Amino acid sequence: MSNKPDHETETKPDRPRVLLVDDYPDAREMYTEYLEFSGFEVVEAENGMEALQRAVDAAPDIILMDLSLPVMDGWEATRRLKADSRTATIPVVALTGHALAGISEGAKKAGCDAFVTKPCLPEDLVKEIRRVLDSTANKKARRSGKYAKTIG
Amino acid sequence: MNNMLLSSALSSKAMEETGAARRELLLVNPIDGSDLVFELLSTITEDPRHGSGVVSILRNVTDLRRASEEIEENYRKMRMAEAQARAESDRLNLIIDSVADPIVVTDAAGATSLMNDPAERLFTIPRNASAIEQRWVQANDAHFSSFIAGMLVSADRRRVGEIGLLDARTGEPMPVEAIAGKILSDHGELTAVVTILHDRREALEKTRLYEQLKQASDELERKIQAATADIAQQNELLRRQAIELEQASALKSQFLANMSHEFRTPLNAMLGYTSMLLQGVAGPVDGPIKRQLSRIESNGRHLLTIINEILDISRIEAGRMPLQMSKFQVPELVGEVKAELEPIILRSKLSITVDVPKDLSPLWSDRQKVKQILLNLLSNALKFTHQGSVTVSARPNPRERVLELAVTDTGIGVALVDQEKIFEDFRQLDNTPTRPYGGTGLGLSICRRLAQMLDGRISVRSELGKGSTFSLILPTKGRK
Repeated sequence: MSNKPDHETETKPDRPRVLLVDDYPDAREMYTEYLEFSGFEVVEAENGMEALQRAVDAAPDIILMDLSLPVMDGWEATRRLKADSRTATIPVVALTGHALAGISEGAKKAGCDAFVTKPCLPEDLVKEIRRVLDSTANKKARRSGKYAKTIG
Repeated sequence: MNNMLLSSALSSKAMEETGAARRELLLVNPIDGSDLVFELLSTITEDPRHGSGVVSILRNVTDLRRASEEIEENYRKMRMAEAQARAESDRLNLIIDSVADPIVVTDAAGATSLMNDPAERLFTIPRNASAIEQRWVQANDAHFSSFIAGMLVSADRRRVGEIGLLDARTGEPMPVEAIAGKILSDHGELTAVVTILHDRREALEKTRLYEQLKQASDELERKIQAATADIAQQNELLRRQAIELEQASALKSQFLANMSHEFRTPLNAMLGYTSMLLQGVAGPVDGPIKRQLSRIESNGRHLLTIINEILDISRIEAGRMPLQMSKFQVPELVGEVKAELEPIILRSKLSITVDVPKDLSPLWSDRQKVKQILLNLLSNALKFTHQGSVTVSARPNPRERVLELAVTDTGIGVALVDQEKIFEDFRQLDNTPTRPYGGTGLGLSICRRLAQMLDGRISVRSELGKGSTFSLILPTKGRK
């Protein structure tokens, strides 16, 4: 927690950092391109295991997590992220093409903060990211009012 | 006194002067006073020496008379006994004759002493009998005689046997059951054998019929058992097939769910890139290129709709479409539905009216599913209406505790005969390859299933060429 303000001031006061986890290259590339176009910094990961590493290394502001992933799936990766004190506060948005009932409940159980169904247009994804970031910022602000002011 | 009686008898005799006479004379026994009967023989004798005189001889005939009377009495008694015996014999004959079974009474020597009418028909040769008929009776006689002979030599008092006789009228075999009993005198001597013959043809016929019936019944039972076993086997087969079908159906649903996921992944990239191009992420786009990209986008969206509908059906069929009930405002929902279809509404140039009371009570239902149904009904109305108007209305019916959400159009309409078909899976009324209206034909089928899940229903009122009203009727109190 104490390192975080340094990180943010150091790299990108205005460009939130997004960790994008997806095994389908075209989707990864597309979202990356659009997120960068929309003013985000993007870090990519191809599977859950890689995502855990990047989440610690890059300390993103938000994680976009595809659920069906090789090596380690999105549910397991999210559980581990939420169990790790270094990454527990980073909001996770689950992203999946599986529209079957029960998937979103499973994702929430694993610790996901929001859930988006693919296909999801890049602009809709950006809207959701902004919404989650805003609500997280508000929560943080409410939790520790004095620090929020220094960040703002 | 005896002297007086004799004198009187003699004097009367003398008066008659009739020569020798024979008369009875009752005298009294001087010893015990009992009556005595005397025969009095008097003869007038002419004696030259002594003149005429009467010679009387008295003979005591008392015992003689008594014996005679006794004989008469015995004779009378005998006659009476004879009459009685005859009456009894007649009565016996009557009884014996009235029995339908032949009865034969045989004496100790084996000779027939009595038989009733039925027995006579078996053992007596009728008048005018043909040679063959005579032989039948003779054969019967021989068989019966041998049975009686066996009975006479045995020590049994009773014997039951079977004799193969012939019907004396037809010659057909007539098996009889013979029940013979010996009649013994008080001293134990054999006096007669009474035999009753019972025609067994009827009983045998009954037995035969019973056997046949039993056989038929057994056969039927076997057949029923076989059929039951067969049915059980068929049931087992059907049960297995049902399980297999269920598994196949589940597999199909899973397959469709997987396929739709596989379809969505590339479609996601296609729609995403198209959208980015249209937004000018890669640089400004104008004129024909922008128009062509829009076509890619709208067709991509259409493809997505189709995939989503297939997914919905497979989810409903797999029972993986849970309800998420909440309380929500209907006017707001109708507004959202209209907003989502705004691009199509603008293109259609139809007049769209929303007729929803502002003070409508909130509805308790699955908001997402109600919205999906209304979206489907409204987009159908827009698709099948070329001119005129489309109205979306909401009418509460407090008495029946339902809310009717209706979409009314002035479109092509549905003929009465087709109004049920349009709710079937993959059904569009025009199924020709060149049909003018796109779509999977799953929309209304999904709507109906969703409405049923919500304890509601969908109905249609329509007239070909004049328009349709599709109504979604939902309970206002939610699920029971």
